[in-house]
Amino acid sequence: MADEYVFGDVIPFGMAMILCGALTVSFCWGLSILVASRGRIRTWIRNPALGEARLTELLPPYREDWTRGLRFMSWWSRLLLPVMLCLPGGLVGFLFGLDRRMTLLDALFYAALMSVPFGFLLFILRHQPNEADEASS
Amino acid sequence: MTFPERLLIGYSALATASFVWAAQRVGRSKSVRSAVEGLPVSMTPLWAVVVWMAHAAGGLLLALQVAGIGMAALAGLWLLRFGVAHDSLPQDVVPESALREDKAPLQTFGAWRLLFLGIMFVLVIVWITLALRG
Repeated sequence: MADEYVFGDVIPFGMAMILCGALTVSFCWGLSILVASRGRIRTWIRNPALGEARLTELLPPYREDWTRGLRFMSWWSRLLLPVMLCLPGGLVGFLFGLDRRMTLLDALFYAALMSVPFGFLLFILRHQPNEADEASS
Repeated sequence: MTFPERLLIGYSALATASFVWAAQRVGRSKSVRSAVEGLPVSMTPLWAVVVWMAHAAGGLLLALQVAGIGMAALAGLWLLRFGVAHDSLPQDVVPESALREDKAPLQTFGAWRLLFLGIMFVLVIVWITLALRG
């Protein structure tokens, strides 16, 4: 059944299901990012990481980033949230990739898929607000 | 329409419905805790269609095993709520843990209990699989 072409000989069924599983995994990653961003973001008069307060300096307000929601979760919740969410999509991709020979294109596709969390991590590290404020002060 | 096409359309429809439901519930919630609490219910249609896919791919035993994994995953999603603080909203100026003597974080679930529950889940699934194999 996995080699059967569907929707007017466009794509084999197994490959379509693997694509569906990959889409599910990426959507679940987005969902876990959305959950983590639900913690309210606060705005402070001054960045507390700058150390001792000087009354003469005038700084723009310090705004916390959207990763603050992760601080309310214990370490195993942070660990399990994306795993538990991405499990169904990964399972579907695994099941329909079992009786299918892996090609170079598949390997590249899986590598790109695995790099999504790392890209997310890079995005978080890059998207820290107030960096310009710290540099100018 | 052939059977694989029906499978594909059913999977896409139920997965999309599940994601829309989950995104609505998460987007409506005001704290991390309530966002996490909405996840297991809205992930149920997705797991149902994954079990259907497993039945189409490998028969009844595989569907039962995937259903066991799905129930374990949904239970894990439900357990996540015990790891998120109740007051996952703006903190006070002086956090409550600074006023208490033991300095332990409030309202979280110990990791050793989670490990115990996970080991029990794995044992039950292995037991069911061995019993079905005979």
